[in-house]
Amino acid sequence: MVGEVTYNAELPNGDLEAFLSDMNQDKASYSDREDNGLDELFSESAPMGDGELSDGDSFFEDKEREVFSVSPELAELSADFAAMMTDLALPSLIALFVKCDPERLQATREQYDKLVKAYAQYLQTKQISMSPGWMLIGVIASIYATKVPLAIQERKLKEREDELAKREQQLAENIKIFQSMSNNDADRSDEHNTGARA
Amino acid sequence: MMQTDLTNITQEQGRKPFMTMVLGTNGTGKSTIMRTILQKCNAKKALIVTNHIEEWRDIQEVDLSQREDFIFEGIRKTRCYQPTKGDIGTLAKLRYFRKGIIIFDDARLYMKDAKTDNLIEDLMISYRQQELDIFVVAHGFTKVRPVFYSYVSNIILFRTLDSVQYRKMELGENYQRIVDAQAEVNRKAIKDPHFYKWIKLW
Repeated sequence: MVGEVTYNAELPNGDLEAFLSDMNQDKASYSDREDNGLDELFSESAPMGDGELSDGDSFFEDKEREVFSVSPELAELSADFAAMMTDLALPSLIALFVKCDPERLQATREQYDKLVKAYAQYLQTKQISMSPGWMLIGVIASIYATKVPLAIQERKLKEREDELAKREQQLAENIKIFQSMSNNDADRSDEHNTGARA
Repeated sequence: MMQTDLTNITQEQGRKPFMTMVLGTNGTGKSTIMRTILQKCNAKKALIVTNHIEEWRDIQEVDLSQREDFIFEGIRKTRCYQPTKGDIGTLAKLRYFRKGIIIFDDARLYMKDAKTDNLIEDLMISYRQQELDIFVVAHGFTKVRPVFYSYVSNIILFRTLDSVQYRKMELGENYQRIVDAQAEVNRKAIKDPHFYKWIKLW
C-alpha cells in the first residue's frame, strides 16, 4: 500500500490521517509496567553495559560525559587535513597552467592558520567529520594526482629520447656505410690509377 | 493452564509497534511532519533523541539520569550521550524507555559505527516488548544505519538525493517500490518541494 500525499502547510494532517489512524490503533500490550527495569538502572549496581561493552573497552572513556557529535578537537584535526590538501592540490593545479614552481603559490603560515580555522568552524557547524580512511585516500590523491601530468610528460620525453637514439644509431650506420662506400671508391680509383701507369 | 496461556495471547493482540523512517533533504518538511504526528497521535509520551537542541527548543530537555525522565506525559528531548565509566550512555538507556515514541532526529550525528549498531540492535530486538513506536529522521537512505532496515515498517519519503541502491540488500523485495517512489517524489518535488509519499512496508 502506498499512500500519496501532497504536503500542505495549512492542512498538515491532510491524508496523513491514514498513517495516523494506523498509528492510533491500540498497540499490542505486553503488560509490561512502564517503570520496568528502572529500579535496576538507578540502583547502586547499575549496569555498565551488556557484556559487549566492558570497562576496558575503548568505547568507555574516562572523561566527562560527551554527546555523540563532532568535537572541536576532531573538527580541528579534519580541518588541518583539509587545509593541507587544499594547500597542496590548488597550487599544483595552478602551477600546471601557469608553468611555475607550485611552492611559490602555497599559503604563508598565517594564511594557512586562517584556512584551518575557517575549515574547523565549517566542519564543526555542519557536524562533518572525516574518517581516517578517507583522509588517507585524500592525502594519496592530493600527492599523486598532481604528479600524473609530470609522469605523462616524462614518458613523452623518454619516448622522444628513444626515438632520437634510434635515429642517431641509424645515422651512425648510414655514415659507416657511406664511409665504407667511399673507401671502396678510393681503392678502386687507386687501382685504376696504378693500372693506367702500368 | 491452557486457558491462562490463551488469555495472554488475547492480551497481546493489537497492532505491532511501528518503525518509521522519515527521509528528506533540508527544508522538505521532516520536522514539521514529525510535530504534526506528535500532536495528532494518541501516544502518552515521546522522547526526541537529538543533538540539534535548537531545532526543538520548545521541548523540555532531560538527560535520562532519573526515573522522571522515563515516566512522564508529553514530549521530552535528550542529547545522545556517549557511555562513560559509571554511565551506560543514552542509547543503552533507551532499553528502559517503555510505552511511547522515540524519535531519532538526524541520527547520523550519533549513530556512526558498529559500536552504536550493537546498541541499536539491542533496542530494536526489544522495541515491541517495550511497546515503542520508533521514528528515524534523516536526510536520506544512506544516513540511516543498515541495522534499522531489518525492522522498518513505514517510510515517509520526501525529496532525497542519495541513492537507495546502497540499501538494496537490506530492503529486499521492497527495494523496487522504494526506487519507484523516490523517482516520483523527486519529480513531483520540483513543483512542490514539500511533496511526500507514505510507503507502508508491512
